[in-house]
Amino acid sequence: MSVTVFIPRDSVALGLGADRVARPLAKAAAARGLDLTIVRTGSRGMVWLEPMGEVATPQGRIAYGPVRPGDVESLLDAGLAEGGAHRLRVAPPTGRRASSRRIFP
Amino acid sequence: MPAIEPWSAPRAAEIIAGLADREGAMLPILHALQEAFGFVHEEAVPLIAEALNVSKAEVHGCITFYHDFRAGPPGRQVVKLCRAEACQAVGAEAMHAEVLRRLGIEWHGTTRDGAVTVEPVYCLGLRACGPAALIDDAPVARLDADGLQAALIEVAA
Repeated sequence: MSVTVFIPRDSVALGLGADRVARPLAKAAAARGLDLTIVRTGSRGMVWLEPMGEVATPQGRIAYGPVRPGDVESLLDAGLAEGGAHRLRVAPPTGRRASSRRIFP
Repeated sequence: MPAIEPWSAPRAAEIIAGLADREGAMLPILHALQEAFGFVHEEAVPLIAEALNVSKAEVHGCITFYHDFRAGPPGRQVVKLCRAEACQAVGAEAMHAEVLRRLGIEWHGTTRDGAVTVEPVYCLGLRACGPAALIDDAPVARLDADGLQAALIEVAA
């Protein structure tokens, strides 16, 4: 299954190391035989969460941040491709409404 | 950074000729010269004046007005440290003093081994995550002296 991950490449995200996350992510995904496409975007402006990666799932995008290069392996282990739970996961889990009090996991 | 060519007057004349017909050609020419040679050589001043039909004083005035233009070759790495308000507010001044102390240079200075030039810059738009800097035009945020040192080593490697 092909997975799309969105990683910003505006100057804020780059300044906080987005490239240093995107490169190892592509490499680690390839090493695991995961069909992962990285799409570079602009920031959503939540600077404190940059670099913030988002993964497209059937339920919508799930965000993770701030991601450090050292987090890449644990994110893949946690099932990043399916929006799996991880301490850096920002978005509410699948199907949860924005009005839910559990904004953060 | 693209490879820097050694200064050559014929090459400079060629760059100037390629841009001289543009409206407001002065800045594009100065940028192109600095990109090619790493700085704007004083010998370029009469060449530009001649090509644009302006006085040498006007060219000199433009070069010295914009601090981005250098009169001499920079170090192999150019670090631009942000000194604007938002970065000052998160302790950039003290960090800058430490960086300059470690490198043994002043603002606009180049280390004796020609490795690093440090220049001030006033706001890179990274206000929410200062102190900010550019290392060879790549933005770096939430910088401290150790982080800068590590980044310089990483870039130089």
